[in-house]
Amino acid sequence: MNINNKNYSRRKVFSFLSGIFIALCNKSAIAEFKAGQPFRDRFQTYRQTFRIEPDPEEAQRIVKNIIKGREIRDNLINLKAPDIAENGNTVPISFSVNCSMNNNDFPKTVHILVLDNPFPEIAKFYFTPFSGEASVSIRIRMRTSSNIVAIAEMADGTVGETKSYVDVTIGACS
Amino acid sequence: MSYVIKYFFALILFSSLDLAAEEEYNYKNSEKPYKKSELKSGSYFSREETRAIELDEFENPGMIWVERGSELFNIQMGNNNIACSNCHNQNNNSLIGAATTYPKIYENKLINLEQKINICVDNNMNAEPYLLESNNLLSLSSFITYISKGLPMNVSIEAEAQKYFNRGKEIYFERVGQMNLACNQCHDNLAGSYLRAEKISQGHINGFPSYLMRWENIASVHRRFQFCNNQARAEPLKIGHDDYNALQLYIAWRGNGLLLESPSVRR
Amino acid sequence: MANEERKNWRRRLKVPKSANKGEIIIIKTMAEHVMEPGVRRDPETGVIYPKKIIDTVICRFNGMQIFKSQWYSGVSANPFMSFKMKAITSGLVEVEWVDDYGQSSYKKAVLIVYDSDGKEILPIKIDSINPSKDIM
Repeated sequence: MNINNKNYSRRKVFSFLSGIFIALCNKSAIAEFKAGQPFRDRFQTYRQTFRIEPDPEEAQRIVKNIIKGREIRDNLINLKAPDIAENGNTVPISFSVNCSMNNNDFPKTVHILVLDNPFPEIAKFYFTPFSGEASVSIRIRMRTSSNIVAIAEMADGTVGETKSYVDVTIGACS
Repeated sequence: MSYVIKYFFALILFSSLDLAAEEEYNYKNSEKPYKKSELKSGSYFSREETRAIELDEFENPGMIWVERGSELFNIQMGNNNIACSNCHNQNNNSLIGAATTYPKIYENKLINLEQKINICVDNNMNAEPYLLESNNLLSLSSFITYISKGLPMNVSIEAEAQKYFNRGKEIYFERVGQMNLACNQCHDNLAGSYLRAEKISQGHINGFPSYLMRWENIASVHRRFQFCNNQARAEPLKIGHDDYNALQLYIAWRGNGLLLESPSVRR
Repeated sequence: MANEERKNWRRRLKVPKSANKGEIIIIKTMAEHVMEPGVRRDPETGVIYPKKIIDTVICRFNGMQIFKSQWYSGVSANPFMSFKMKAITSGLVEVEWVDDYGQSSYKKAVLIVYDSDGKEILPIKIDSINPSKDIM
């Protein structure tokens, strides 16, 4: 065919289209797109804030990014949170991980997330065997009633996850 | 025929308007809405987790201001280079029990604790008085209230405080704002029920200056009154206004006998 | 409102004075900080208050890091955090709070650990201790 006085042969068109097709079928590219965009998720580290409305899909993508397809162990974390929070500005929560803290049986990282906050990541905790017991209590901000998720990544590669629903009547700006 | 219909409409409309006379709540001076055994402080109406935060002296965020207040109490300031603790220490002029008597009369005017601190700083120490509702003044006032912790509230309404007490009572029963609400409608009659998402308390101020979670800061009584006025869509007065002082005297008298709990943690 | 007036932003640390060997002690920390999330606006002008939060909290025992925590804007103001530590030897517990502008402040406390006989265990080289082996 003739476009702009250039001759496009069938071979050229076919090779061009098949190149696009192969690029689209590239598994790693699709996997990365489905798993989320971790660079964009880390808005928290920049001075300016863009994402102010809560986005539940983004929160699910962040959770998937952390878990990375590993199997979830049962009964690993005890998450204690109030049923109804008096004020969204100060919600006291505490968690403790059931493990022996010996050898490789301690949590390397524990993530706390609130799914319906505009910035779902709340805190990360890094433990060592010297900690004795992996248990922390902290006060967080919640904007609306939502699930609090605690994810523990153990040193031997396994993952544990717990959820707890908290009703918030007076929300906070977070 | 149409006249009859219009007449009926007018009748229905007028009957739905609130034209009832103000219910008479004119207590005599000695009568209070709550008997002494029925008095309940604000912590009774808050949730378990909040009460746990308030009771632990380390976890209570209000103690940060109390600590700062105790340091400011000992700092030398002003032209005379004296500190509060030079005059007020355990041997003479001890301030234990002082916070239970405020607001009180000083030189023919009703003042509260923050204004008295400023008067002392200005006259006796010859230093610049603090700004009202500033962090340093709130720290000093919460420290002075903290050392009277556990003592019962004991304001007096004798002699010259009588006319301020009457003015305070007038304000308490007066309907204000777009919502046309008076203090007594909720805090005398409906304590314990829910207003939107919050439990209505009896409205005592034995826990002030208190750490309020909505502002994440220690707040004085007058700032809390401003918030109440804002919520009823009324014009708030300035902090340190005479009317707020009179209202504070009435509400403190209403809770006479409650133990001081400052710094408390409220929503 | 009057946030600029505060000159010393306080930090508090609570560590028990003494413990027995192998006991798990609770360390409580509290910081006075606005923890501005960078989302709130001034009601009159509409300008966003800039984000200013405590970023990292590190706990070191005799210089060795035993606990680290990274915070984001979801932690409430005047943040309180408590965590646990195993008492092996006596030493210095130090907690450091690091701002997201790089400013850091810290608070120290001394912990004394007693043997089952009542003698004090002195701090020796920490690297040679294996916490899972020395204490059953």
